This record gives sequence, C-alpha cells and structure tokens, in this order.
Amino acid sequence: MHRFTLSFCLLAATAGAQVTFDDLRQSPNQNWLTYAGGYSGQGLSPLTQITPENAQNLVPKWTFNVPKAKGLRARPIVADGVMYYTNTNAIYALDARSGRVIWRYVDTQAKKEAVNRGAAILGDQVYFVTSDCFLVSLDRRTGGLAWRKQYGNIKDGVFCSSAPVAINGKIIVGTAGGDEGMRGYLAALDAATGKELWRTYTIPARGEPGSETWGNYIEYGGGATWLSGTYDAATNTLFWPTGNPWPDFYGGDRKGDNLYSCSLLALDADTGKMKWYFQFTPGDWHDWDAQSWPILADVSYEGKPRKVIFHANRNGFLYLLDRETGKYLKSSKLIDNLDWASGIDAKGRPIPVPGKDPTPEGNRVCPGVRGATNWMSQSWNPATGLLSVVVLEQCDIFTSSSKTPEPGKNFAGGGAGPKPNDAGQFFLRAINPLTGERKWQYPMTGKAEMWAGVTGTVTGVLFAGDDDGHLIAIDAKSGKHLWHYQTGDNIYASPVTFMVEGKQYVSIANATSIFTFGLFEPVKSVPVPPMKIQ
Amino acid sequence: MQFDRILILSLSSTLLWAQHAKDDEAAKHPFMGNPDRIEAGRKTYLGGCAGCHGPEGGGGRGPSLIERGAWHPMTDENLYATIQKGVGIMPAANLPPDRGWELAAFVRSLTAPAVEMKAPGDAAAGEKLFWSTAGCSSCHRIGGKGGFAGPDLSNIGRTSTLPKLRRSILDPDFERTPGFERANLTLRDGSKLSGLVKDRTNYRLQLQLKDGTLRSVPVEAIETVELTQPSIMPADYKTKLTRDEVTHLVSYLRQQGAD
Ligand code: HEC
Ligand code: HEC
Repeated sequence: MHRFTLSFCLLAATAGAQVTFDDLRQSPNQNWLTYAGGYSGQGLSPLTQITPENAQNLVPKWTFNVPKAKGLRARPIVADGVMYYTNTNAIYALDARSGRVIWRYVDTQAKKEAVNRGAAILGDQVYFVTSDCFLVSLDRRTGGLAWRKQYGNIKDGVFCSSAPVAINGKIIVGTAGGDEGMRGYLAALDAATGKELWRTYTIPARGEPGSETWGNYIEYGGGATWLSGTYDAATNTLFWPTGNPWPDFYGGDRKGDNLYSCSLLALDADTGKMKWYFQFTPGDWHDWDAQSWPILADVSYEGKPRKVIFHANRNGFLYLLDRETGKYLKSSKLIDNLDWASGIDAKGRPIPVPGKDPTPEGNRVCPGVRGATNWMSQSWNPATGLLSVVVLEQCDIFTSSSKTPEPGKNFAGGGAGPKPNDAGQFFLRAINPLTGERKWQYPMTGKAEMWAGVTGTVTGVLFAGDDDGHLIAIDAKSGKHLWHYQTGDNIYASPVTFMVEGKQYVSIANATSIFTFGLFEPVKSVPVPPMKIQ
Repeated sequence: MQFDRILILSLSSTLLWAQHAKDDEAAKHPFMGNPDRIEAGRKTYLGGCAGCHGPEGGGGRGPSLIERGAWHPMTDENLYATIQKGVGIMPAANLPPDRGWELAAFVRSLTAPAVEMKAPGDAAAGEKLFWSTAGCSSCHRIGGKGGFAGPDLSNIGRTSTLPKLRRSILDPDFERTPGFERANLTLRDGSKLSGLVKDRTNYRLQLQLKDGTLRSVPVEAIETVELTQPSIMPADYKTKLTRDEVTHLVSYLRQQGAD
C-alpha cells in the first residue's frame, strides 16, 4: 500500500506549480480544488486508500481552531498539501498534514460580517470574497494581496458569502441578501486583474422580458446567488441556482411567477448570457431558494445516453433535467412529508395544493422553510447509480404579513419555524435519481439543527456530518454505519477528502474548528533536532 | 520561547482600532478621523504630551500610545476624559472641548490603519526608494513583484499604522512578523535546504524557499538546524536614510491596500 519511498515522502514539495484550468478540470483527485470538489458537483473522490473495510481505522490527525469562528460554513480547498480555509473576512493557509498555519489574511476593515463558504484557486492566486463584496486575490505562497475588487455594494442590500468559482481566466462570484430585498446577480471578474467582465441579474429590470411576472418590488426581487454553481467545461456553461423572491413569505404584491427566482440558470461563461432557465417554484411564498447542487451527470435515460442535471430542491422534489435544453424530464419526492403540491406536471410545474400559503395566524406546511435539503453537499456515484443526499423531514408553521415591505430592514413578509414539539429529523438517503427509488436511508438522531453534507469516494465510503456533531463514514452500498467521531459541536459544513505524500485524509469543519482524519499509523518517537540558534 | 512571544506581539498588532465603520456601529465624534483636526491635535500633542509619551507616541515616562490601544481598547469618551482629567501622575489637560477632542482624534490616529490617515512625504519618491535605491524590494513584495525574504507589503497600509510603519523601517527588531526566521537544514540524507521558517514545531518545519516554494519537512528527516533569529532586515536604515526619505517611504507604504 505504501508505494512511496521514504525520501519521496519526506521531501515532497508543496505549493510549487501553478494551478491550471486543466488541473481544475481534473479535480477532485489528490487535490480538492473547488468548493464542490470538481466542476460537475458530483462530490465523488477517486481516492482509494480509505475503503469500507478499513474506515474503522480512521483516527484524528489534527484540529485547527479557526479564530473567532462561530458557525463555520466553509468547505476547504486543498492544493499540493496546502489547505485554504475561509471564515468571515479571513482566509488561512494550513499545512494539510499538520494543520499548522503557513499564512493568514484577515480583513479587519470590512464593513460587514457574514458567513463565508470557501475559496477558489487558479494560477498562483487564491481567491475569496469579503462580506462587503470585495473579491480578494492573494498570492497562494505568501498570502500577499494582489488586488481587492468591489463587485457589490452593501448599501444596495447585497452582501457576499459564496465560494468563487475559478474557470479559464475568470472568477465567478455570487451575491447574497435576498431575504431583505435586493436584486441578485452573478458576475465574472478577470482572474488576473479583477476587471468585471460581465454581470447577469437574476431578476429582470422593469420592462425587460420576465418583468411581467412581477408586481411591485421587482427592484428588490431577490434571486440571490449565494451557492456556488457548477460548470460544464465542454460547453462552457455555468449552472447556477437562484434564491427566493422577496418578500419571502408574502407574495400578494408580486403575483406571478417572479422570474428568475427559485430557478436554475444556464449561462454562457464567456458572456453571462442565459442559455436557458428552469424555474422549480414559481411565485414562491415559502423561501424555498433553489440553492442546492445542480449535479452534472452523463447517464443512460430511456435507453439513450443523455447529459442531465440532478437537482434535489428545497421544495421537496428531486428533479431530472436535460442539461442542454433545461427540459424537464422527471421528478420524484425526496421526502415523505410533502403537502404543498400534489405533484409536478408534464412541463415541470408544481401542482399546488390549495390553502398552503403562509397566513397571518400561521399555517403548517411541509417541507419547512429550510427545505427538504439545502446547500449541504451531495454525492453522485455513476458506478452504483445512487445519489446520496441529506434530507430534512420537517414541517413548519409559516406566517405571513401584508405589512408594506421595507427593503434593507430585515423584513421578510412573515416567518417560519417548527412548533417546539414538532421538530424535524435528518436522513441520509441514497436515491436512484432516474427512478426516484430509495435504495437505503440512514436516520439521524439530533435536534434538526445541522447543515452538514456528504462526500463519497469510489471505494464506496460516504463521509457525512450528522445532526449530533459527528463526522460519520457510511457504506455507500448498504447505508451501514462504518465509523464515527464526535467533534464536540454542531456541523454546518461539508466534508472533503484529499491526499498528501501518499496518505489520504478527510476533513470537515464543525462550528468552530477544522478536523482532519487519516488511517491509523503508530507514531514513531521523534528526536529533538540539534538546533543551533544564532 | 521567543517564537511564542513574537507570535503574540504580532497578533495583537493586527487588532487595529479599526472597528469603526462596521454596520452596527454607534455614532462617533465628528473630529475622529478628520485629518485637519488630527493635525491640530498633533501640534497640541508635541507641545504638551510628547515630553512624556515620546514624539512619535512610542512612550517614555508615560506609556506608549502606539500599542496600548490593543490591550485596553478605550471608548472615544474614555479617551477624551483621560486626556482632560489626567490619570495617576499624568496631569489634567483641561483644554476647551474642541482642543481636547482634537487630541483624542490624534491619539486615536496613532492606532488607526495607516491607509485611513493623511501622511506627509512624497509617495512617488518613496516608491522609487522602495524599488531601487533603498533595496526594499529585494526582500519585500508589493503587487506580485519583489522578493520573498520579508513580508509581502501589498496590504500593509490596512494592517499597520503610521507610527508602526516608521518604526518597522527604523527598528526592525522591535516587533517581528512571524514566519521570517531563516534556517539552514542538513537532512539525514546529506542534502541541504535553506529558507524562511513559516512555522515550526517539534515535529515539522514549514520552509519557504527563495522562489516562494513551500517545503514541509518532518523533524525525523533533519540532521541539524541552524536558525538565525534577529531580523534579516538591515538595522541601519536609521543612519543610511534621511528623515525625509523615511517619511517618503512611509507615505508610499501607507497607500498599499487602498481601494
Ligand atoms: C507627566 C507626564 C505625562 C504627560 C505630560 C502626559 N501624560 Fe499621558 N500618561 C502619563 C502616564 C504616566 C500615564 C499612565 C497613567 C496610569 O495609567 O496610571 C498616561 C496615560 C495616558 C493615556 C492612557 C493610555 C492608556 O492606554 O491607558 C493617554 C491616552 C494619555 N496619557 C494621553 C496623553 C495626552 C494626550 C497628553 C497631553 C495632553 C498626555 N498624555 C500628557 C504621563 C503623561
Ligand atoms: C534583507 C531583507 C530586507 C530588506 C532589504 C528590507 N526588509 Fe523590511 N523586513 C524584512 C523582514 C524579514 C521583515 C519581517 C520582520 C522580521 O524579521 O521578523 C521585515 C519587516 C518589514 C516591515 C514590517 C512588516 C509587517 O508585517 O509589519 C516593513 C514595513 C518593512 N520591512 C519595510 C521595509 C522597507 C521600507 C525597506 C527598505 C527601506 C525594507 N523593509 C528592507 C526584510 C527586509
């Protein structure tokens, strides 16, 4: 198993060569170069050292307590043995073998403090966004600042949290703030200079096509883009999910479909022009952002090869779409507690059940506001044909308010949450996304408070966070528990796996720290090196 | 052990008094951050306070006003009251309110990010010194150019203060930035490696080589380590550079990281 010679192990260089677009297309391999691991969002690592047979031998290798961390959301990226990890207005470069800091960059002057979801890497640069919407380009070797470019203004109700997506020569960034009234957009910045190359709004301007699907408040319509999208390099297409229309829980002043909220957009990565869109939840009243992973897969569908997208939506349905046209192919129920729609019609439009809108006195609707799933990562394994996705079976009381909306004042037109005695439950489910058939499920105890996702490997191990703060390893074929480790706090982030110097590691952040695991090896006594200090 | 001290010092130095301008921030006195008022305050300071706190605020009979803010962040009102009423052996200033607030604005400016402050000097002359005559760029990078032997200064205007920039040039050993010890390693296989120690524990060294490449070396691979701890930044700039040249350099550096 240990094919590498000792001297190779000891002296392998790290952070040497540049990270090319081609490297990004190969990820994940020994590296984990994008937030999703790879452009397709499949969440499947080709590493083979950790298997269902030996996963029981996983042990902690190191922990890094992220300064000032409260509820870490970020997933690390790892390149040549260096892990880059973001928190609010801060990024750390860590030795991925030891968890020790190599450099840090902290923006103490940022004018906003929000969660951050991760970094991107291209060439010699590492990129992340500050909460006040600067894209920051740093030298990956030193953390030295190349430039900071503002691409959004918090005065417009926008803030920034998503992990940028690096493609050929461009960095794609999204926007957040859709619960308070803003106009969402996606922008491409030149990777070398930070110059804005294009910007595509997710909500049309008044008078533009699509604006007829709105009433008042279209200027603050939302449609945030806070989850990183996926990318098809073969067709140079970005697939980006959009958030809810605003005000979230009262749609009385915006009757219509509210394009392009709660949708998936396919955009030409060179121009930002829309190739197609698919709206999951037209005229949404339940804050069911489409922020979940658009997973790109090539499958055999009805006997023919087909390029498709799987999308496990917050509204409770798992969709199968044609990747080239956005055409609706099929859907199935992700969850059992789904009462707002009786199904999806032939065109892909939900068939609403009357009486399921939020009301001033409160109305119980399933799924709840956090959705059947959310931005936690998923894992698709073409070999087994199974999509592993963390789902939440929960119903919430949705209330609405017809108060005149006020943008920028934390007004959402109502609210939602479970009754105290009616909390939900998380499950890890393995589903055939072509048929909707559930192969197995792993139920979780806990308070239904986590936001942890799942990552798979080709050997058939799934790593996931559970609702009690454990990192768990699950057999991808059977759903059986293999291993678990208690991290001591809730988990709101998704795991990654990578390899350095011939050793495979698994990392996940809980609310405050990053934990990294590997297979057990007896520790040999290390001599104190003769040190001469001048 | 020294390593720990270095780290603590430099972490505290990143806690600039820059919390103003956050979303939820309370209104501040209009003189705070106002360049004219700060300049007026500086004049009053040189007359009545510098004798005890040092001409640059670095301390003397009274404490340093350059770093104390980090240990004891004071509210603006507290700062104003301390100046006006005195404390311990420090006499009360008892100035008219405007002049008191000018002093408070000046004292606060000593711990404010350099980029937010006005500074005398000619930034263009400073730039020239940095990239040629003074040789700073052989060790420091700005905007992706320069050497790796010292900290990248591309953002130094946002992470340092005017008095600290000046002191970094004149007295490099006063406050160190972690990650710049220099090490020569002889490895068990006979090969040699030299670089900057980005991090070291009893089990592993993270070296950065001349070209910026990182090497993570486990201690069991090491035969001997030679560490050079005093800063490699020349300590004689205070005699080699004129007062004006230092002012020009500070004026250039304070702009690094500006929007
Ligand atoms: C006679 C010497 C002396 C003079 C003159 C003097 N100070 Fe002080 N100052 C001190 C001493 C000593 C302390 C510490 C007192 C203590 O904490 O007991 C101090 C404390 C301070 C502090 C509080 C520092 C902290 O972080 O707690 C400030 C601010 C300050 N001085 C500003 C000024 C200003 C502005 C002036 C001019 C108007 C001034 N001082 C004049 C000696 C002096
Ligand atoms: C021989 C290499 C070398 C040269 C030449 C050099 N420096 Fe430095 N400098 C360093 C190192 C190394 C440090 C980090 C301090 C330490 O040694 O811990 C440093 C620190 C600094 C800092 C503080 C950085 C921080 O993070 O706060 C500033 C500012 C600075 N140098 C400016 C200059 C200027 C201006 C010049 C030219 C006049 C210069 N340096 C020349 C090596 C150098």
